[in-house]
Amino acid sequence: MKTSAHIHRRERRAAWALVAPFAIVTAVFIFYPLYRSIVLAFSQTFGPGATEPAGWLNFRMTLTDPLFWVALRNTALFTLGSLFIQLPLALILASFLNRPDLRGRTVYRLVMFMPQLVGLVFAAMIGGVFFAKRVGAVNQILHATIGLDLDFPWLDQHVTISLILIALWLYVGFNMVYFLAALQTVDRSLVEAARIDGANPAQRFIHVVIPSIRPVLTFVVLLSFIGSMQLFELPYVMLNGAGTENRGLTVVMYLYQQAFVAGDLGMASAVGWLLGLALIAAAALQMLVARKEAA
Amino acid sequence: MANVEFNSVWKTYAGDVHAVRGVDLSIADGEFVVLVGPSGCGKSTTLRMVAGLESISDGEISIGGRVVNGVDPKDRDIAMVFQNYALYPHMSVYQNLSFALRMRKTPKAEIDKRVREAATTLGIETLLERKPKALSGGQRQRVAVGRAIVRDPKVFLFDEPLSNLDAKLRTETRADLKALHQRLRTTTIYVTHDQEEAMTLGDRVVVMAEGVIQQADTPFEVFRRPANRFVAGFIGTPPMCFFEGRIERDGGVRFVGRAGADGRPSLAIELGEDQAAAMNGREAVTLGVRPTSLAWTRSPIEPEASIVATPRVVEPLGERMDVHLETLAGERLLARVPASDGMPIGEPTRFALEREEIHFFEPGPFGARVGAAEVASV
Repeated sequence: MKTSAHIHRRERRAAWALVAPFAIVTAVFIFYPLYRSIVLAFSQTFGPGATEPAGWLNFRMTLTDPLFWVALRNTALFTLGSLFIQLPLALILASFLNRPDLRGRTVYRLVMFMPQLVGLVFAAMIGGVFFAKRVGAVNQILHATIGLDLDFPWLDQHVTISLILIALWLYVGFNMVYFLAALQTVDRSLVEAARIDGANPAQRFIHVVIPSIRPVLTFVVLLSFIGSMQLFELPYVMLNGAGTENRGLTVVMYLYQQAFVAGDLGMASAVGWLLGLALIAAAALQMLVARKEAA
Repeated sequence: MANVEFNSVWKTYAGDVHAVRGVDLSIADGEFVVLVGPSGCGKSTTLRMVAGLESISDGEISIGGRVVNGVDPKDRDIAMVFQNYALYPHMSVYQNLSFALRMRKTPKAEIDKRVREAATTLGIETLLERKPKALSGGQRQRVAVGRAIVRDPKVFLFDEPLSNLDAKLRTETRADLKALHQRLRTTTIYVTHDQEEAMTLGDRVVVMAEGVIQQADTPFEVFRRPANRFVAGFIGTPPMCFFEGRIERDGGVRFVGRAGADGRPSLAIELGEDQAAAMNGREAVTLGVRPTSLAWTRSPIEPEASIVATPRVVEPLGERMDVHLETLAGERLLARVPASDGMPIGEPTRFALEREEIHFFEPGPFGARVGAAEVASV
């Protein structure tokens, strides 16, 4: 007769066996690289294989490198553009599509969402063509309408704005879909109650709609923030690198250059950790604020 | 306070769907009117047109003598209590109550005074700092009512405000609402699908079906003299039972029900003089009788009006019991009779009809009432 301890042992073995594939994959592809990157961040590397402990050297070097600050500034500007131009626009579009009397909502939604289906690299290439001097569509149109210089240097002097506009085209529909889904869950009788209570459309939006969609709002802001801070492919492909006077340099591009151009894996790891910690801190702060407002 | 007038009001949606068809109704100042009917009858749409949440397709609605077609909801001086209460979830009870006043830029001191007054009236003064999610269903309902009374509007609109409460609380709150109306005397339009709620609350009950007012009258009249077969079947629990039949004139005037398998009708009733006169040459009519007007008679003397039917199931209800019956012609009906033992299940049994309580209608689901209010007793 089998003892209960025996059965218990067998069950435990089965449990471990079931968890094992996930545990092994996670350990090999997530925890080990994470651990290695910490080690690397505190090491000086001379090509693959030759490393020696270096303390905080990589972090000091990064934080004192003017180029890092240029990258951070560009990335931050792009992020601000995403958060304060793209997201409000997405919300306005979503509100428009949420009108109950609107016909063809699905078609509009699809059309707005479609750029998302274009690969990032292709979007970057299209952006490069659109914002090109003289022949680019943007300058052609602006020249014809408001008489802008045909040689207006979007990609040389005004890279961040160009990037913000391309990202807008790419992602505004995507974020709009989130907002639209959230708006459609807003309790209609709440809005009606506010109408009867005498709130005008703006007041209804501020006092009823925004609080109702706050969880989705927080989520989209967070996602957008993290995504923007990781900007890389768009400028890299469009400018074929960091662009004129590093105006298209971003933090992740800086990391990439350290790792795969300069071959300094230690520096790259340090940059990665700085970025990662900054993102975690910012996300935590946002969550905290959102939770406080919701309470 | 104000009266509310409906002048052949229509609501038509795209595709020629008529939700409300030519509603005419005058609601007096201070009156409590209940719109009642099955779902889809147009009662909520009618209420929402008064609120301004639905546009009026045709006709006019006026509040206090002013036509409000096209007037914004906030300018109609109405307050509405929604079925799900529609309390702003992120605001405290105090903020919920004061929202409308804040939107109207009422001075702070005045807001505070009115909010506290309303809270005291409804017994929610200890809940002012709470959020709606920390309240019970009954408390939320009170806050929703509070949000309406704090405005001191001309008209209260209630859209099934009790349907989310459990049965016991619903009965209590119903009484509270009635008391509140007796105190405030604000014109009230109240929508419900529950005929019992309609009967207990309304000064007047407006029965609607298919977008049309079937009858608008006092609860007593709607029950005693239903204007048509629909109202007769809708108002009253358990509902009225109906028999299709025809009028025969050989000597006297008789109502004869459908024939059973043996060729004999399930019921045949001599009509009184008034009733016979009212038939006015009609052939086919529907007879209606409430389950409470049937009596199980064990006496060997045949009553003047009776029906023979087979008891199938008996449901004891304490003092009374419901007997499910089947006539010889296969019609089903219900008799609510004083509780007693010995109901012969499965055996044809004679039930007496109270002749004063027999109603006649034209054939069809909306057949109009035929004849005098009550059958003259023979």
